[in-house]
Amino acid sequence: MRIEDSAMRSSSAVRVTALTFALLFGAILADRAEAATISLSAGQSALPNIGKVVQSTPTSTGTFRVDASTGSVSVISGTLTRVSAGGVTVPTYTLTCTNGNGGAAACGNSLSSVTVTVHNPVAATAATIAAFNASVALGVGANSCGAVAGQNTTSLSFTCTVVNGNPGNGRAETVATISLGMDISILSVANTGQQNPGYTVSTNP
Amino acid sequence: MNSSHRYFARAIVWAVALALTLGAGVAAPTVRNVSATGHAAITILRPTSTSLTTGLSFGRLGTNSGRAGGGTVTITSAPPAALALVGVERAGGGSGPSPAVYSIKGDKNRAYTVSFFSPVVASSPGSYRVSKFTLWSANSGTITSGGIGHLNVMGTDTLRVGATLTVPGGILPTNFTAVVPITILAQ
Repeated sequence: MRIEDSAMRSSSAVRVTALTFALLFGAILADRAEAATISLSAGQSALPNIGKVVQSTPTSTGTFRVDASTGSVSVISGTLTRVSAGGVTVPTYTLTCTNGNGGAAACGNSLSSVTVTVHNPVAATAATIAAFNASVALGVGANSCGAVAGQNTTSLSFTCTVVNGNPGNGRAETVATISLGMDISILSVANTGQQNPGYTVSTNP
Repeated sequence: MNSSHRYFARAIVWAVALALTLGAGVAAPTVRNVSATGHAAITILRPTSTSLTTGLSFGRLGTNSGRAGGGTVTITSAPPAALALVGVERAGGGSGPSPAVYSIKGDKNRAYTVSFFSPVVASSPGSYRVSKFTLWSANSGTITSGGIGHLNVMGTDTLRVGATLTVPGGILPTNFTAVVPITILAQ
C-alpha cells in the first residue's frame, strides 16, 4: 500500500508538473504564432534633394524647409540663394504589418498599435537636418493614426492602431505611408559640394 | 524502467502534445522595432566673385571730318581686341582701346551664367549709347548673354565684354569709356 500510495502521489505530481509545462509551452507557442512582423521600407538616399544653393559668403548660413505634403521648398532663414527651382520629391516610408500565424489574426492579437519616430539627425560636414515634418496616410492595416507629435522639431512621432483580424495567411498589410519633409540647415563651415545629412525612422514595437 | 520513469515519460509526451495543441499555429519570427536610415541632399556652392580688371575703353575717337551723321565703333571681346570703325576715326593719344575684362572666381569646375543688367549703357563722357555686348570667356570661348561659362580646375575664368558705341556727328577727339555691369550666377 505504501508503495502504491507513493507511486500515485508521484504520478499526480508529475502530471501537474507536465500540465504546467504544457500550458507554459503552449502559451509561448501561441504567442509566437500570433506574433506580427512589422516592417519598414528601406531608407532612401538623396531625398529630398533640394539641389544647389549659393552662399552669400563662404560661411553664410541658412535653412531651407521642404514641406512633406507638397514638396515645396521655402527659405526659413539665411541669405543663401537656391539655384534649383520648384518643388522636390520627398522620401516616403511604408509601414507594414504581416501576420505570422497563417490564421485570421493580422498583426497578432497582442499587438494593438505601432509608434513611428523620425529622429536622430546626423550632420554632414556643412549641413544638417534642423527639424522634421511629416504627413501620414492611413493604410488598410490601421484603424487610425494619431496626430503627428513634434512637427518641425528634431524628433517627431505618431501612433497607429493596427487592425487585428486581417489579412491572415502571412499576407502583408500597409499600416501607414509616411511622407517626410525636413528643415535642412547650412552650417557656418567653409565647405562646398554635396552634403548628405542623415536621419532615422524607427518603430516601436 | 520503474513506474516513476514511466510516469515521467508519459508526462513529457502529454506536455508536448498539449503544447502543440495550444500553439497549433505555425510559429513565425517576431520582427519588431525596425528602423531605416535615410539621407537628404543639398549642394553648396561657393559664392562667385567678380572683379573688373580692365574697364571698357573705345580709345580716343572723333567723327570723320565732314560727316554729320556720326558713326559707330565696335570693339570685339575675343582677343586680340579689334576695332571696327564706321564714320568714326581714331585720334592720337589716350588710352585703350580694350574690352572690359572681368576676373571670375568660385568653385572649381562649376558652370555659371552671365547676363547684363541692361542691354544699353551710357558712355563716359557724352552718355552716348553703348550696346550690342559680346562675351568671350578664357575657358569657354564665345558665349552669349544668359549663356553658360565654366570655371576651371582652379575655380577661375576671365571674361571679356565687347560692345558698340554710337556717337553723333561733330565729336571732337575724346577718350570714350563705359561701365558694363554684369551678373554672374553659379550653377
